[in-house]
Amino acid sequence: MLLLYCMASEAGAPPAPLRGVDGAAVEHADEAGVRCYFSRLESLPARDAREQALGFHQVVSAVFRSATVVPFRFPTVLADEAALRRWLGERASAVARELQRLDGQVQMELRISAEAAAAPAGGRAYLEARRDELRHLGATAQRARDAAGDLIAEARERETQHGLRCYCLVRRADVAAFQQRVGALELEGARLLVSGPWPPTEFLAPDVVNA
Amino acid sequence: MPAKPEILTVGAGEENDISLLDILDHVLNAGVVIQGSLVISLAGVDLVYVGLNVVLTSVETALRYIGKGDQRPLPPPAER
Repeated sequence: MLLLYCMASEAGAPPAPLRGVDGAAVEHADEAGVRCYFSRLESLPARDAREQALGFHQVVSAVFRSATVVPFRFPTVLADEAALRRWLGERASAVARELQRLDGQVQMELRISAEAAAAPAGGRAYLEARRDELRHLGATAQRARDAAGDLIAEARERETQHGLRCYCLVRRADVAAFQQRVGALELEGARLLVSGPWPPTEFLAPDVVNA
Repeated sequence: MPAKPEILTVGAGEENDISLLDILDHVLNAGVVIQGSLVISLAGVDLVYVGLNVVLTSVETALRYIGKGDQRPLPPPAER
């Protein structure tokens, strides 16, 4: 079976020979300008799952260092190369469109959470505290976006169980400036983790993500 | 007292518990999903996914344990 890692433009040179999950060779298939990286595996056992996931990440990272990539979610597996060619034949043009649209851009993420506070007593008090907390986190997210405003091509926000996640699309060349500006913020009552650069998965067209 | 944001540069070779969780979170939750791929039909793969997801649901919780400069140890997995 084939374990799929990611897709990138066929125009870029592939990274030096890579070893992927479980030490398997990393190969690629090309279709309509899209290069898909994969490994042939006998099985994908549950043991060493963490190591396999990290091995997967290392391959995607190696390609991502020099190219815009569309990663697969781990573990995405197809039966054989014929199945991969069929899938690419149907989807490569949409993926190529997204690779071109997002070329040279990466995703920076802001995880914003509240400082730990005593749990309010009662349902109403809890809901009011939650509302105030989300307002405060939203204001913090806005401050971060304002600090790096001219560097952000597009931003999306999502509420999570413990706070907010904000995704910012920035040019790869602007990552250090983005980190510097957001990193200079002074926070009151909130924690902010800036992580990236990541492949711009939050900005992919839905028909590419759910293929 | 005001706090500063924490910066994690992915790929900088400075992995700690939080950046590893962040990486695993992305590996499992971001990217293209092929409907009908073998993933859903392989019991072993399902176990891989479920097993990792149990840990990954705790990412946001784990982040709460990072203080301003003082990094408290993560709680044991059962508490995350």
